Amino acid sequence: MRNALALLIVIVLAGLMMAGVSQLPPPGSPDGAVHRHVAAHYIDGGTEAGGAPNLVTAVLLNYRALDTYGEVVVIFAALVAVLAVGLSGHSRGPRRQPDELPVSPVVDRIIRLLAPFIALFALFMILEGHVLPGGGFQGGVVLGALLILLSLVLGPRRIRRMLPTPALFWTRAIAPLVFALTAIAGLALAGWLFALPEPAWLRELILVGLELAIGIGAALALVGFYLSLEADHHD
Amino acid sequence: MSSLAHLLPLTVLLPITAGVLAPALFHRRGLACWWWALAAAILTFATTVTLWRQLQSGSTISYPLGGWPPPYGIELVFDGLAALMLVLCALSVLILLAARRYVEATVPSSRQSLFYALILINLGGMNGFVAAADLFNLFVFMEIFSISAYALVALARGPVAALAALKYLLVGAVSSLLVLLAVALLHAQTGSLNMSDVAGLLAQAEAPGASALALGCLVVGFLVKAAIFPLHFWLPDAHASAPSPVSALLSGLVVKMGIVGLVRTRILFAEAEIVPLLMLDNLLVWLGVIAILAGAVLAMVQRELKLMLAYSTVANMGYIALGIGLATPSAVSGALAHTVYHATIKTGLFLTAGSILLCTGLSRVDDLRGLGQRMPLTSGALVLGLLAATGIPPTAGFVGKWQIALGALQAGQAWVIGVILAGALLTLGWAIRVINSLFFRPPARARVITANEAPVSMLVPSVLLAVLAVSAGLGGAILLGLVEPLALAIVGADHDH
Amino acid sequence: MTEGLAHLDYIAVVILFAIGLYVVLTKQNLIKKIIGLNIMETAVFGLIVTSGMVDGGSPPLLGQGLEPPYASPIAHALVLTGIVVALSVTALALVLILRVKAECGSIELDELLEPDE
Repeated sequence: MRNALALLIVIVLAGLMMAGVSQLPPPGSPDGAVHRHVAAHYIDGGTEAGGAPNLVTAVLLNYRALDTYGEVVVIFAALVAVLAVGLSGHSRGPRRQPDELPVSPVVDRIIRLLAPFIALFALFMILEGHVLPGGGFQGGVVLGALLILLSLVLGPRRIRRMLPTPALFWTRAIAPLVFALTAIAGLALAGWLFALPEPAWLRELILVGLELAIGIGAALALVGFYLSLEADHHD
Repeated sequence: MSSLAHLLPLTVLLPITAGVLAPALFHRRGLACWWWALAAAILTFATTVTLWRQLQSGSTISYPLGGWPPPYGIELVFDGLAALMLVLCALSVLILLAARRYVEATVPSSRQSLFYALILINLGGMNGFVAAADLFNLFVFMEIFSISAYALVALARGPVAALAALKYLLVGAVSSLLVLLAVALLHAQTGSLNMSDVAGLLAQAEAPGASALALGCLVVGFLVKAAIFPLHFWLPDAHASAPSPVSALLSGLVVKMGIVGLVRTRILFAEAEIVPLLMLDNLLVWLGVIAILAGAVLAMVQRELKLMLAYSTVANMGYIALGIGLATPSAVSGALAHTVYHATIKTGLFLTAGSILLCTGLSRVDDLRGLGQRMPLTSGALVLGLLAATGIPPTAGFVGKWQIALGALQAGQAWVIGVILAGALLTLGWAIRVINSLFFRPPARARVITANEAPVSMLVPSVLLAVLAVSAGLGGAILLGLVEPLALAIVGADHDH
Repeated sequence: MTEGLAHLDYIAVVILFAIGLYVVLTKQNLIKKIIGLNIMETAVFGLIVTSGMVDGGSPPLLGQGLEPPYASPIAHALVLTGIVVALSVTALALVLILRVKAECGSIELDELLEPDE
C-alpha cells in the first residue's frame, strides 16, 4: 500500500520532470545555449587565458577555482566528520588482529606486484592532469584505492602507522591549505584572490602544486573513510 | 572598486582555514582550540563589520574571484541579504563562547578540536552561501555547511542523536540534490551559472516547462532546508538531540539558509514572466499559515524543553515563509527582520536550555520545577527569551510579526492576521507552562535543588541574547530601514501588476 | 516523434532519477536508502554531462590535435565537484549507519522506529 502510493508519487513526478526536460535544448546539438555562452568563451580563450591545455582543469583551478576550493573543503569536512562521529574512539576494547581476514596468496602477490605501477599511474594522472585527461582528484582516487588495497594485504595497522598523528592531520589538511596559499599568492602577484599569476612557468608550477595537494588530500580522505569504517566494523 | 572588497572572500577563507588548521594545531588540546576558534570567529565578525560599513557608505560590493568578470568567473556579492552574515558571525561568536563548558563536559578530548573545526567550517560555508552569486557555487557552499551540520548533530551521544543525524543527512542530501538538479537544468537552458546573468537569460527564455521545473526543484529543496511544514519532519529530532550549542547554531542560523535560498530563487525568477511566481507566493502563504499553527500546537504538546523550542522554530519559519509569500514590501521586510530577530531569540533560548541541561542533566519541563530559585539568572534569561518568542511588544519577536500583519492588510488578506494572533497565543500557552514550572512550582527533583548557577562563560551569552531579545524590538525601525531596499528588490517587478 | 527521440538521453536520466527516488522512499534498509540516493545523484550527474556533450565532438583538450567542436568543459568540472560532494556525503552516511547499528542494533528503519523494541 505504502509502496503503491510512493510509486504513484514517483510516476507523477517523473512525468512532470519529463515534460520539463523535453523543453531543454536537445542534448548534443552544437547550437545549444550550453555551447554558445560561457563554454564558448573558455574554448576561444584557449590555453593562454585558461592556463592549462586541458580546459576542464582550467575551469576547475582557474575560472571556477572557488568551487574547487569548496570541493576540497567538503571532502576535508567529511573526513573530520567521519573521525568525529565514528565509533572507533568510543569503545576501547582490544581490537581483533588484522590478520583475521586471510588474503589469498594470489591476491596478495598480485597486489604487491601491481602496487608500484598503480602508484606511478596515479602520479602521472596528477602531474599531467593539466595537459591530458586526469587531474588531482582522479589521481588521488587511484592512489587512495591503492592504499586501501595495500591495507588489505599488509593489514590496516601498517597503513595507519605510516604517519604519526600530528603529521597526519597536517597532511590531511594539505589541499585546503595549499589552495588558500595560492589564493593569497594570486592576490599578491596578480591582484585578485584565486588568480593565477603570470608568467606561464609560474602558473604551471602552481597548477601542478595544486593538483598534487588535491591528489594527496583526496587519497588520504579515501583511506580515512575506509579505515574508519573498517575500525567501526570490528569494534 | 575599493581594496576593501578583498575582504569579502576572506569571510569564507578565514573561518574555513582556521577550521582546517584546528585539528592539526590543537590535537587533544581542547581549551587552546577553543581560544583559536573564538579568535577566528571574532576576526571574521570584524571583517563583516568592515564590509558592512563599506556597504552603508556605498553600493553593493561584488568580488570577481581570480579577476574573471562574471559570468565567466565566480562572483561573490555583499548586498542586503549578505549583510545577514553580520548576524551569523556575531551569533557564532556567542555560540562558541557558550560552547566551551559544554564541549569540555560532553566531547572526548581527542575530538574537541574536530568539533571546533566543524563549527568554523560551518560558519565559512554559511558565509559563502549568503554571499554566493553563482548557482553552482551556492550548491557547493550549501554542501559545506550541510555536511558539517549533519556531523555536529551526531556529535551528541546516544542512539537518538545518531538516528536523528542520519535522518537529517538523508533528507538534506535529497534536498541538496534537487537544488543541484535545478542548477543543471538552468545551466542546460541558459549556458550560464552566474545568477544575475541567468536571471536575464531566463527573462528571454522560451521554455516555460523547463524553467518551471527548475523553479520547483529549487523551491522544494530550499523549503526542506528551511524546514517549512510539512517538510519539517527532520528538524525536531535533529535540533533537540544535538549538543545544545549545535542546536543553537542549527535552529538560529542554519535553517535560515533555506530562507536565503528562497529569496535568491525569487530574485532569480523575478523577471521571467513565463514562470508562475504568483503560485509560488500563494504556496508560501498557505504553507506558512499551516506551519505557524501546526508548529505552535506541536510545541505545546511536547514535554522536553528542547523539543518545544525545535517545534517553535518550525512555527517561526512559517512566519518568515508567510511574509515572503505575501509579497508586499512591508510583509517581506517583516519576514527579513524576523529572520534576524528569530535567529537572535532562538540562539539565546537554545544556549540557555543548554546551560540548564548541563547544570541539572534534566530536559523535561516537569522535572525543571522550581529551578528559578537555584538558577535565577539562567531561568530569567529563558523567560525573557520565551516572552520575546511569543511576540509581546516591544520584544524582538513583535516587530516582524507586526510588519507581516501590516503586509497582509496591504495584500488584502486580513484573515492572515487572525492566524498570526492565534500563533502568538498558542506560543504564549506553552511559554506560560514553562514559566510556571520554573518559578511557581516547588522543586520535584533532587538535581534541581542541588543545582548551581551556570558558569560565567555560559551565562554571558544567554543573558546578553535574552536582553537583546526583549529590547531589540525598540530598534525595529532601524532594522526595517536596513532591510527595506532588499525587500523592494525581492518584491520588485511583479508588485506593479 | 523526432522531438521525443532528440531528448531520449534526458528521458533516461529522469527514469534513473525516479528509480532512485522510489528506492529512497520505500526501502526500509538504511544502506539501501543510501544506494537509492546514489542512484539519484548519478542521474543528476548524467544530466549535467549529457547537457555538455556535442554530437561528433572532442574532449576539451587543446594542443592534442583534436578537432572542434569541443564538449563543454564546464559540465565536466561541475560533475567532478558533484562527485566529490556525493562521495563525502555517502562516507558520512555509512559511518552514521554503523553507529546506528552499534547503538540501536538494527539498520531497518521500521524496526528502529518501533517503540517497544
